[in-house]
Amino acid sequence: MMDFTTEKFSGPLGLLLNLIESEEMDITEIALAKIADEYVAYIRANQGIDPEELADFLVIAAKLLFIKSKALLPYLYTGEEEEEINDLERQLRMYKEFVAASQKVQELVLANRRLFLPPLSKNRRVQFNLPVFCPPAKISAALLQERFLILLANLEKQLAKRQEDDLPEKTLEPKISIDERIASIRQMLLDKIKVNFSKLLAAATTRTEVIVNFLAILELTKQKELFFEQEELFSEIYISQPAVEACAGEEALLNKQI
Amino acid sequence: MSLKSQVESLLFVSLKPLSLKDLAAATGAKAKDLEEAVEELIADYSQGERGLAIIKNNKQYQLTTAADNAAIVQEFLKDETSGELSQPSLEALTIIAYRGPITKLELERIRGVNCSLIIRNLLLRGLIEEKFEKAKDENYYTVTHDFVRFLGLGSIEELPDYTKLNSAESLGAVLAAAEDKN
Repeated sequence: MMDFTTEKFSGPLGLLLNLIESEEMDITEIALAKIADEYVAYIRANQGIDPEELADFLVIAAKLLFIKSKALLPYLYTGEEEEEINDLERQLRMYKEFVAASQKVQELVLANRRLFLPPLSKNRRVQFNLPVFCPPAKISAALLQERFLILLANLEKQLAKRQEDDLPEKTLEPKISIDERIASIRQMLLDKIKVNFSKLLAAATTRTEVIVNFLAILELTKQKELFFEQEELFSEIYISQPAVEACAGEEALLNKQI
Repeated sequence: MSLKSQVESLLFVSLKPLSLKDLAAATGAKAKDLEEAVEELIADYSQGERGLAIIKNNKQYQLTTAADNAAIVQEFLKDETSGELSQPSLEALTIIAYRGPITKLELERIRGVNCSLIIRNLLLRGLIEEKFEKAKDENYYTVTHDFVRFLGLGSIEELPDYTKLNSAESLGAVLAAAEDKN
């Protein structure tokens, strides 16, 4: 991956344009598909991205991944999304034009051909209703400091008063996250070979916990980390880890796909 | 005295940019005649070797020093304000200059990123101004006379490729497409 830390870019489109131009590609669907991974990797490394702008970067990343997925699996797409891709291309081309224009503007600034106005005296400013700075005659830094300290003292009094009024207290119930639950189920399966499904749910004391437990199991199932056994209808379900070879094979397959 | 010379005198003593309406109120002449007079005056200044120039922005006129004399005037006034702008600010400013009056939303669609902070900064520096359009219930942004003076232009139409980048067609297409989706 190219190193952009020294290069200046501004915003998500700026980054995209930088990547495309560094590969000397034109703005096309193919170029966008090619650049998707690099763009995502860049965001992941998160160099120089303002946290407030991160969401905007992610929007572009999502569009790029969409374009890439279409390039890889064209038969899954019906053609309706064509417009959306064209939009991004068009937006980027227009952005490029304005970046070029901004460089010309910068040249104008640097050429220093500024046009000046006569400096304004206070009287003339008053005549034209322009803002005029007229501080009181006696004002001084020491006076400002003195006033500010008085204000602060007042503020502290107010705050102290407010703290005296008792706020109602409430204890928050301990919350359990799906991530924590997944970790504990994994641990359980390391300790025991087989786990009883009903016991797993029975450990939960509140309704929320039952739901979290269930979601955790679903998630692990989706990740293909669990193996279920049931001897007959409505009998106990046992959970275990899938056989090691199967698991390894699965992973290899996954890696291949990625 | 001719209308042209009256306009010249008024521009000289005024500290604020003057609109045709302001000039009409002062001279009692018609806006159309005044516009002709100002345009003639602008041509006069740009032809001869003059130390002054008239700039036009947002349909307002202002008398300033000539661009060629920037360095000596700056030295004389001991003006030390620098022209430094960050890349994002410069981009936003460029878009507002070429596409103004423009809304925040349109600006953000071109740049693909939130511009609230940049707009606030540019407003504070006096490079852009905000105008609320009642009919559309939205704020529109344009560059100020200060910006035009800063670049040493007679008006923003003198920016490189202004007609091309200002044309409604190129931007309109993108914005219309984005509008449909929302």
